Amino acid sequence: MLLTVILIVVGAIVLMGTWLSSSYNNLVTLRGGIDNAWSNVQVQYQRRADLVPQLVSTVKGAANFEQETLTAVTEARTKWLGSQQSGDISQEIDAANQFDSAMSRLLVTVESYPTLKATENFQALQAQLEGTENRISVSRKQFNDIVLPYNIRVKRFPTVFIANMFGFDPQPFFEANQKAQDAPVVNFQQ
Amino acid sequence: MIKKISISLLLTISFASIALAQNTKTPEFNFPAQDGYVTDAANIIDDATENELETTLRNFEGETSTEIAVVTVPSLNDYTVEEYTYELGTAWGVGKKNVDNGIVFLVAPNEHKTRIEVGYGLEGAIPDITGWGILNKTVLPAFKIDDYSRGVQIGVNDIIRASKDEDFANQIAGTQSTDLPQNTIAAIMMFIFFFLSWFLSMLSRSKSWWAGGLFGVLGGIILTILIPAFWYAIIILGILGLSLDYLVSKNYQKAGKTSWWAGGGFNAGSGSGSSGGHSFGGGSFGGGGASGSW
Repeated sequence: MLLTVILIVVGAIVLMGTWLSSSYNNLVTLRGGIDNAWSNVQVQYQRRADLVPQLVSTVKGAANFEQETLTAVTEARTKWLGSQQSGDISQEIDAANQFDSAMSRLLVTVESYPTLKATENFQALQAQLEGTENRISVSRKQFNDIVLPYNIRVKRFPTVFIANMFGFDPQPFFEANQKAQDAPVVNFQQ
Repeated sequence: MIKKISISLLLTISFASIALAQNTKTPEFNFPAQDGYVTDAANIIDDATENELETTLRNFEGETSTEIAVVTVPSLNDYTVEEYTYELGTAWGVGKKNVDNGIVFLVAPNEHKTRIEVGYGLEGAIPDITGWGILNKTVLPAFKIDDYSRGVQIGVNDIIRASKDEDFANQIAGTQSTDLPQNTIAAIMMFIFFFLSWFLSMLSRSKSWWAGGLFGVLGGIILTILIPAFWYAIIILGILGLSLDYLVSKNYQKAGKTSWWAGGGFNAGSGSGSSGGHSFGGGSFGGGGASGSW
């Protein structure tokens, strides 16, 4: 009879240990996926940041191009680059969203300069810009896709205990802020 | 009585919430059924060109392992051409796994949109500017006069010419690990581990949560036949098996494929089901490529 009790206790401990370690490993795997997806987001934004000086110098040549749009993009770029040092994801997301809205405003403004758009220089640049913007949105989507199951795991019973014990906090999603979603206002005077 | 009602109420609520959870899926892309390398769902490529392209693309995959899918769709279902092409390429897994050397050339004639989506592995050979050049200089002029067959054909030829330099044979060989167990003990441990994980994954995949209990009871009976004094092993192993199976089955449903015991390795049958006798290799995309409209 004693043996039975021992066996049951040992079985329970083994089961408990299996569950604990597999839950923990699961969280670690998901966490690693998020870090990976986030660094991909950073790479794509960096790619955009690298294109901005070239874009600004190309656009600057166009007659009477709105200076404030250009300044806004340059400032947003600097701000985003600065946020990279902070290591705080929500701060980085904020800066990235501002970068997004400044960038889309510039790209919309460019639409009203047909002579600029027709130059070969700008067309080549535009192909790169389009590719970069698309890569950014894909990397954001991939990041959010991987954050969702992680957040569910972290908040769900009974994994929530393990998550609290080992400091697995829920991740913020990379959501576009209100400003970025507003359609940019185009100024048609030239 | 009240207990009974509350239990049935609880059951109803939990079933309803499961049904709700399954209903909140993203809107449908309605991808066409994959039909070899060239899937002409919009029916805009003539048969001779389609057959020729099919042969060209099969030979090209044979030479370089690069997978190129040509897809025409009657509708993008309100998605942008970028979203649609990316999701289709990912869903079909165009390109070889780990080297991501896939290309999707998608044409949506009704929306007048086209896109060349380039897998991670080919972004060096076909940077966005090259894709943009292929579309604007050769493909779109043909599309503008409704000559889709010619546009697709020269587009594919240009893509092949651009990606020819990239050879993936070495890279694919490099991703396959060739390390063998150092000694027999390690081999036996590996075997036990894999048998265990296979067994657990089988238990967790099966919808039942009781099969483990049955196995436990069976094991107990065998043990009892060998050593009659251990008759209570039937009960203990039964309970152990039952709770283990319950646990893994539950966790499997909850976590999808992320549980370590249900992960890859033994799901050899996955990825099948596409028609046309050819399925792609499971490559992934990062949004590289170029789009065009006419």
